[in-house]
Amino acid sequence: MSADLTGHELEGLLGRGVAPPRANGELVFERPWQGRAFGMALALNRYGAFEWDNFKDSLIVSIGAWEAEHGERDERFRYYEHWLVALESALRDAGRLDDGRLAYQLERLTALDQHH
Amino acid sequence: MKRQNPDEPSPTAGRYPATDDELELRTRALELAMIDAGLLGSDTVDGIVDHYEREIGPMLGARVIARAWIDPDFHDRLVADATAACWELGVGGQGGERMVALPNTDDVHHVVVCTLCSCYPWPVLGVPPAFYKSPAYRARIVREPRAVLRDDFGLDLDPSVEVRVQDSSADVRYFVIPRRPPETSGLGEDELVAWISRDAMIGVAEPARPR
Repeated sequence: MSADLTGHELEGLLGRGVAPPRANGELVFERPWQGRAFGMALALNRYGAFEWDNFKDSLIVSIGAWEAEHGERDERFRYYEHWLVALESALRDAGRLDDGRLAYQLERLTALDQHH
Repeated sequence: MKRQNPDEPSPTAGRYPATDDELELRTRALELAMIDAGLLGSDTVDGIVDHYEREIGPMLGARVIARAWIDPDFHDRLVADATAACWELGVGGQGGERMVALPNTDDVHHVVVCTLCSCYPWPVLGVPPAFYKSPAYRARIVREPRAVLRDDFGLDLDPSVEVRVQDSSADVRYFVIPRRPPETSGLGEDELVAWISRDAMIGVAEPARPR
C-alpha cells in the first residue's frame, strides 16, 4: 500500500459508509491528532504490523455501535476516535500493542502536559 | 469479520464523551509506544502526515485564493471578512471560526506564525506542517523574518518590500493571499489552483508553476 492513498482508494479499502470524511474528494482532518492517527495506521500497515481486514472490521463495529446508541445524525460523532480505537484493537489482536507501554506513555505525557 | 456480541459493551464504551485533548494525548501515547516497540521510526508518521498536509489540506485554501485572483469582488469580500467569504465556497468549520486573509502587494509581504503554539486555519490549510510547529521557526520568524525566508525557504525578498509577521491565535487565524504571478494571466480557476501551495498561503513561498 502506498502512502499517497486518495479518499476514493480508502473508500475502496474500507468500504462505503466507514471511509474517512472528505470534502471535495479530499480527506478532512478537523484536528491535528486526526492526521497523526491516520498516518500512523498507514505507516504500521505498510510495515505489516496488523491485519488491515481486522482493522476495517473493528472500525465498522465501533462506528456501528456508536450509531446504534446515538443515532446517525448526532453531531458529536468523530470519525477518527473510532479510527484510533480500531487501530489499537487491531494492534492488540496482532500482539503488537503492549498495554503497559501505552499506559506508561499516557501517564508520562499527562504529567508533562500538567507542567505546561 | 469480528462479530459484535450484543451483551458486550461497545469497544468505545465509557470513552464518550472523550475530549479532543484526551484523544490527542492517546494518539501521541500510541505513537510513542509503537516507536518504543520498534514498529515506527521517530519521524515515520511525520513523513506521511507531511505528504497529506502538503497535497491535500491546502487544496481548499488554494481554491479560495484562485477565486480571489479571478473575481475582484470576491477578493474584496475575502479581505473584509475571510470567514464569510470562505463559507461562500463551502470552506469553514472548526479552527476557522474567525479567519483573516492578508493580501500581499508589491510593497508588503505577509508571513504567518503562531508564536505560542501552532494555531492554524485548518479548514483552509489542513494540518500544520512540521516547520510551523517548530520552536526555531516560531521564534526566529518574528526576530529576523527576512533572514528566515531567505535562508530556510529560499525566498529572497527585495529590500524595498516590507515584511509583516502576523501572529495567529486560537481566536484569530491568518492566511496569506499571495500575489498572482503575471505568467498566469488567462488561466482558469482550476489551473490556477495548482500554482497555489500551502507554503504560499503561510507566506514562506511565492506561487509557483506546477511541476
